[in-house]
Amino acid sequence: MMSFNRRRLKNSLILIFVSLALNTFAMYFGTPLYRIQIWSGWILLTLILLLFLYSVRKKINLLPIGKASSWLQFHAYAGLLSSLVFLKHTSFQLPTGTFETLLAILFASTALSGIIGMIFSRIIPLHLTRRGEEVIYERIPAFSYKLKVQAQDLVLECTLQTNSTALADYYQNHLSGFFQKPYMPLFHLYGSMGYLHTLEIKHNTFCRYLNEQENQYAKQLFELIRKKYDLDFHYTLQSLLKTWLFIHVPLTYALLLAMTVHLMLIYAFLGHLQ
Amino acid sequence: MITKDEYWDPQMSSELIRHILMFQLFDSMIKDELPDYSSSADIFKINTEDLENTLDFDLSDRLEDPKLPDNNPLIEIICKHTRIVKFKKGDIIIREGYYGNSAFFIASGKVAAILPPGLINQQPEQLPVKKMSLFESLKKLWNPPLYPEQRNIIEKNQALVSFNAQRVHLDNHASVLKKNEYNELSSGEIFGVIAALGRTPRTSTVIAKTYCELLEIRWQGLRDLRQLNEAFRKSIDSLYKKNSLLAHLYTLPLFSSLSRSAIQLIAEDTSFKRYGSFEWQADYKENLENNTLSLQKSETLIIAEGDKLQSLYLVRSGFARVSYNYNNGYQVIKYLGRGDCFGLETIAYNWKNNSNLHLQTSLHALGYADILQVPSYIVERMVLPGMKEAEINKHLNSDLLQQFAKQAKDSPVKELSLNDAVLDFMSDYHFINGSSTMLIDTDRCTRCDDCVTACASGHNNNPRFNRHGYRYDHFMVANACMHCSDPVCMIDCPTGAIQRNPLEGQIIISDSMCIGCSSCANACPYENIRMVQARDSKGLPIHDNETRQAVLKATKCNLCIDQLGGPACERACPHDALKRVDIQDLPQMINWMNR
Repeated sequence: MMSFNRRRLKNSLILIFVSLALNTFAMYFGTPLYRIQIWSGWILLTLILLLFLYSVRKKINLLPIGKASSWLQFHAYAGLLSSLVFLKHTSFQLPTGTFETLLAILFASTALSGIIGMIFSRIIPLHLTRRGEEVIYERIPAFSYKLKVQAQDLVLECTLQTNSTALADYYQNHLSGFFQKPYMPLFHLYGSMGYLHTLEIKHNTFCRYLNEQENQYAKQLFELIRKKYDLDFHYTLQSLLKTWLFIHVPLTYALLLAMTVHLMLIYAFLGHLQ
Repeated sequence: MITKDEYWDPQMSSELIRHILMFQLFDSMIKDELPDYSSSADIFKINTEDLENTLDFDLSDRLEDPKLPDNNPLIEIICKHTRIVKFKKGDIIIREGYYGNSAFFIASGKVAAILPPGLINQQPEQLPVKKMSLFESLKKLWNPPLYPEQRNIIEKNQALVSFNAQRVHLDNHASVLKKNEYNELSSGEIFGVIAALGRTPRTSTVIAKTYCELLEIRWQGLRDLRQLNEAFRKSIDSLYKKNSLLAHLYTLPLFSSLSRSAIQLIAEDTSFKRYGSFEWQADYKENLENNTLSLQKSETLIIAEGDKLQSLYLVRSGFARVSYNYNNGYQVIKYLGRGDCFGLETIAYNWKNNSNLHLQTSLHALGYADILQVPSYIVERMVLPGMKEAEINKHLNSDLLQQFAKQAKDSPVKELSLNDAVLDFMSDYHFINGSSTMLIDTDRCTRCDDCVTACASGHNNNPRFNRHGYRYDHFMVANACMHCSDPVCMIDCPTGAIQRNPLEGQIIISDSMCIGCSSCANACPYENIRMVQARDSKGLPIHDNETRQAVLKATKCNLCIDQLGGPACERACPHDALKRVDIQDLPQMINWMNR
């Protein structure tokens, strides 16, 4: 079984080889200038269509057309190659016209969102594994609701058992919002425990004024706070893993559309050069 | 409603009853039922009318009546679990290495059970599972079901495995029988019991030597008969022990240099013992709930570290784990499955050095283990002298249990490797049972659920697994059918809907045979079988016409057995985070974990 490092090395070498081969090809056949643009344009279009095929593969699961992981490897490295071809296609210059600028922005943002997505895909799972329980994204709202009910039951029980509304008041004033629904605060993106620490200090300060019986309930309440904090962490990171595709995929469709228009415009006005 | 046609095979006639009554193995039971008849020969002479009168039911009525006879358990078993099958001279009845769910009583004719090394390589390969064609796959892709678990309830014959498709004829059977040693079995004898009762592959190929009529009885029938009649149970158990012992000894590489008569001599002194419970899943669930899934609390000790080794231990079926005491616990070194042996290196060491080394490791049954114990003096006299020096040294050096245990004891703060820890985890949770366990690397899994979607697209729009399960570090054993080596889910299935693919060993459920009783779902120790409500083309739950109850079906992963390309979940994972692994192939699994 090939290790990930070895696979990375193999694919990178293939990428370098193909890039050099294409460059040599362009230099050999590429004079005059417009030919480079035509050749690189067609190669770019082919590459982008091949990249697009990955999303088609993901929808076809019943046919024996290769593992999705192999397709993704191809998608990632062909994406990098297309960026190099794109730079060659634009002759390493910034676009000047409005449409060309739009096209370049679409390409750059599609490629960038792809790279960011790939980085997310490699980093976020490591954090998800190491914090809290493994939860299925769609079930997070249900788990959050369960925690809310548990917290409410706990403070009600405390009120009944201790004849004191202190913990219930504390919950109502400081925690009811926190338990209300799953949240996606940005600090979870970098794994910050700061807010939990703030809650802990506040909680400990409050606990100084409780009797022993109330303190037992307060301890259990803080366990629920910790669980909710971890649940929000999972919610934030899993949301990120799911939503970046909502940027990458629409951008791809927009790029394909703009490329089609670009191609039509090129061939409409290429006559005198031919 | 269950109809007569949905039984395994409803063929039942007075002739069939006569066949059953003539079997010697049934005699004791028959005597209980029919005290007037003293021997099977007498019974065979009776006519149908007498038989019906005696058994107090009308055969023709029974054929018309869809309900099972409830007044006679023997007849009920016959109706539900037996059929008459006829084979031509030269037909292969069962094939070595294939999985089987039934045993055969010989009603007439003769069969030849080929003795090891057997015919396995000479048999034509035949895939009994129907896979979807490319066109069917495209059709399914184009026209997916609108609702989950939508099915056409009237559709018949949905079984994935066709039993009749397995029939193979050997044209050169005469020369095959000439070239191979075999045991001839004739009328009144039974074969196929080991695979049927032991949930293991067939140990021998059996060929029809003449035209023969056999009563095929599913393992559920054998199970019920064993419960019904003590004499039958004893008889079948002793047959199982005798046959499985011999069959196992014949196939062991350790005894490959010995003659058949020498092996038979060894068999005479070999004892057969079962450790643990054959239906271990109940204890497993209880231990799981009580969080006592650790070795010392829940497992049956076979032999302890420090004991004097007096036998060679051979695992006939089930699992056992080898461990040594480590601080106040046990460290697992390896686990043993069918065909493995324990203690050979110690016996060889003592024999070679004329010493008296005691065991350095313990052996525990994991769930259950059928163990054959060959006395060590037999191994010293008959096996070791015939082995080459290099081979003995290999045993002494390759399996360094003693040194390993010693090293570990010398270093009380030994660093546990991934290998050690995974072994502990896999055996604690009994995952070693899995031959296609779904392992997910949560460090690479992006929780995209492409695996779940792929599974659903191939299985009635409803995934057959949960992306959830026990975790060791960043490896999760997901709630997906593991296609166990010891599939306890099959034990209580009343209709035989859950069965093993004879060739590749996958455990599959025939939708049309499933009556939704939940026995398999309750029996599965890993909770990998789910009961679902069948729906019609409008997405409405289907109800039984008679009982008005919703129709339930047992569902689980079938490893995409009917699809091109293998398990869709594994193929759909874009990040190489999911793999179906055979846990018994530890090096391959560790390799995958350490990529």
